Amino acid sequence: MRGAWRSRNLLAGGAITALMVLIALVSLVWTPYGPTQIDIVHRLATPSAAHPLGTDLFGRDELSMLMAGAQSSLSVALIAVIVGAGIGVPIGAFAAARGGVPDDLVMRACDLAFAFPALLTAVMITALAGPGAINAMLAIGIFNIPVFARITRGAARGVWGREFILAARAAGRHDTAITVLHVLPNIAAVLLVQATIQFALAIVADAGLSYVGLGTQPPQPSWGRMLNDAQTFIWRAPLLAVFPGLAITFAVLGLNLLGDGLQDLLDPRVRRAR
Amino acid sequence: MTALLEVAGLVREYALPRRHPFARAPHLRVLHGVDLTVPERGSLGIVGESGSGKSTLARAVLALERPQAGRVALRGRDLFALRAAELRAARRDIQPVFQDPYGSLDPRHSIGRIVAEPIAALEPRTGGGERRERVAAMLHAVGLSPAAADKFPHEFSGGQRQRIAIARALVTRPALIVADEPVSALDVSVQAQVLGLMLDLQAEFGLAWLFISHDLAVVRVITARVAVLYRGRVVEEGPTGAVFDAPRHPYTAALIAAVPRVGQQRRSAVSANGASANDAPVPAEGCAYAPRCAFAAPRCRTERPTLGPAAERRTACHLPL
Amino acid sequence: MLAVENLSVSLPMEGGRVPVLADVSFALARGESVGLVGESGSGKSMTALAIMGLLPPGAATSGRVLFDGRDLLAAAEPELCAIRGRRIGMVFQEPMTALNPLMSIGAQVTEPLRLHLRLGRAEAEARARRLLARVGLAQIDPHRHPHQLSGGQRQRVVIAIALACGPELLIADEPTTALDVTMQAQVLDLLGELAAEQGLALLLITHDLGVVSATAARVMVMYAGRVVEAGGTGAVFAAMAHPYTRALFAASPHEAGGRPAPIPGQVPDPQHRPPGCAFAPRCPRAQRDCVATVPVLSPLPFKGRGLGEGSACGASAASPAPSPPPSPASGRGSHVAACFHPHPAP
Repeated sequence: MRGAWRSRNLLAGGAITALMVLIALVSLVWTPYGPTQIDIVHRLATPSAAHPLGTDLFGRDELSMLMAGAQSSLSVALIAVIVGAGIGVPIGAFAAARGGVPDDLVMRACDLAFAFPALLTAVMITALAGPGAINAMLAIGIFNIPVFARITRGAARGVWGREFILAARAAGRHDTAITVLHVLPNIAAVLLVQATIQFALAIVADAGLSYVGLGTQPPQPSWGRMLNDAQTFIWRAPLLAVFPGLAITFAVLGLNLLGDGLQDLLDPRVRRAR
Repeated sequence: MTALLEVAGLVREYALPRRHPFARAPHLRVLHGVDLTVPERGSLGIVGESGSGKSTLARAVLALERPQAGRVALRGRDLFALRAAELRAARRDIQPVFQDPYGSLDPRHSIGRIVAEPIAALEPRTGGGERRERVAAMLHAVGLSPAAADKFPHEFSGGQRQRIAIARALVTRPALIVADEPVSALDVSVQAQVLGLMLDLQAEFGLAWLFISHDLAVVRVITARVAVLYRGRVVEEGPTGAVFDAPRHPYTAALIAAVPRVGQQRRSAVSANGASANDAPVPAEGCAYAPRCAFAAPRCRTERPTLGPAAERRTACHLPL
Repeated sequence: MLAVENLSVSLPMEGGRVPVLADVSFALARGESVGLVGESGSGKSMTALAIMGLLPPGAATSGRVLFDGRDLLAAAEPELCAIRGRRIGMVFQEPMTALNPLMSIGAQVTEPLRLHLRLGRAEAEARARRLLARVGLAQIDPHRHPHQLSGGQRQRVVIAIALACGPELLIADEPTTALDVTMQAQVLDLLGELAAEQGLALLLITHDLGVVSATAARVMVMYAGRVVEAGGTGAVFAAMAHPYTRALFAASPHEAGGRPAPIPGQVPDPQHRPPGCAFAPRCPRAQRDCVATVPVLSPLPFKGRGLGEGSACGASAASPAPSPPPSPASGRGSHVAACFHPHPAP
């Protein structure tokens, strides 16, 4: 893996992502203040030694809320990607293995799903099913399914055309065994890259949902909600909107860099010869 | 002597894209009723140019693609009439070697796992120790060190990869190996090594080969008998040496004349018009080769010549040379 | 017209610069055809890339490639662009990848005419039609796209494009390897005719001894980045002097007439070439001097002591001096081999 150190994208993206994960993990056990701890006397405080990023309109510590918000953003996005990949990859792999009519049906179903504006539909689903983190995960996850199905199917079709698949079939392997043993390992790189990109998109989607109040519910802090709260005081305390905005930007940037870096590292066309 | 492999009346068609959404999908017939026999421990070469249906034939014989008509019988049992479990048992006796030494090995699997795959799939009850032993024995048989089992395909050269593919094909001790252009992608000196290995293995393991190639000289080295395929039909069949030394079908003669050899003035190609095997129009009736044939008579354009009953030499031509 | 003098090329690889071509010299006159034979890794394609100035980035060269008196190795990119495609045509192995799948074949033949020769549209199209007719595609509609043609027809289109601007030199790298034998025969005939009628010089690169014998007047056999034997095609194949040439011949199923004899061992990696003759580790005739010094190309038959016994010319080649650049008189038809113990003439 010496190539990993040559890629600045991978290093920067990996570092930012690792930092985000670390912050989320630390927030589970420690934050400077309780993220829900109200201190009405010190509301809307500017950054100071006591409150490095200031406080919000209820006097809650902005830094603590951002840290706890990372927790909810990352977990919603993670589950959403797992839901999307967990259902989409098998569907795509099945379509590629079967070809013909099943393949056509799956792909047309994906086309249909892509016809819905993803975020608006997620808003609709959570509005109908009731707001909350779980429903947000599912609503975002559902729209990851066709993405993963399509990319899996495309990549898997390429692998199915290769001779080692013919050899495995001549050795009596079932389609399912071939998919698990030969096809998925050979497209894992593509899926991993796509997963980081979808992860970034899911963070944005989660922020959007909680901004309109349909995602993670108070008192659990979330970046989208913090943005919403901050907009009332945008003229009095502009920094309250800046910090959660920066957090979202950094998380997305880090994941996209990581995805680019992984792509360069794993793509055999870019990889140097030996 | 009962035949190991018997192919009779094999017809394979592929659906082409529809012209409009409600049209019936047109079919392209790639094999027009092919008959072949390979005896136990025998070797049959299939020669033909691109578009002749060679690879389709290989896939049908390996029961990877179901033909529209005809039968592929291994020791008298029709592969396409078997139930799934029986077919899997039959596969132990018929294994492939493909052309592309870079494409036929899964880059993510170790050599040990690649060679063991037919055991894992076809004899799942085999224990790990026995499996490793058999893999090591096969690697040794193809001239590789048993240490190769822990390496990955990218660590080997083209010739070595083809040896690995042969080891995989041999690991279930099959009676027949179907080799589709197994040495075409190799350099001459490596090709000679692999050909030598194939000949040795045939003697050592009592193998039969169905050896498919566009390269006449390679077929001549490996096989005792040869069938010449033209656009999905066998046009000539017989002992390899006799067919190549004195071809009777004009197409066979054209193929042989076209091969450049050191120190020989190449005879100008017998098929003078610029059409190749896969783009010359196929006549609806008569001999498929008639449009390119220098000797075609009126009868060739109306009446399709047949190969005739099994014999030492057969030619599907009205006016054999 | 083309003179390659002591051409050496090295490429950056892991573990430093690695020489891939060493001391390649030859000359090619108008209307002459030379075949470059060797296995993969012998440097035959690298020689072609060096002549065209298409070496991979980071390549270091020494020696000269004189085309009409101008050194192409020293030429700037714009100058090379004006020469490539216009005065030097190229034909590659895989006709499908050499053609643009989205353009009609007529448009692809017309393009170099408009680009290099600045012809008007009507004139260029008329000329493209003549070119396609010349390569035997008169009946083919120029509006067709590459996927509608067979492999042999595509290779003819590639040849038509290479010939479009009336080049003086045609470099063909494995032009028939992807083709069926009957197509190969037609393409080889076509190349031969073109050389004869247009005074085109042909550098034919192939692994197939039969193809060289059928097409080229002179042959150069390459092994591990060096020319090991060269001469008139008839003379070389009648009295193959270098053990590698013989081994290649015996390994070819076309020529061996029976079970082909494999060459023991493998072609050495450019990183791990032995110090003396690169073929020595695989050579049945190798002796101690072969391991120590690199033999240079010397005219055959060797003068002096008995052939094939002891060191025929090991003394004179004790220090690996670069072989002299070919003088117009000597370098052309004479049979040379880089070997201390060549096979004697039959």
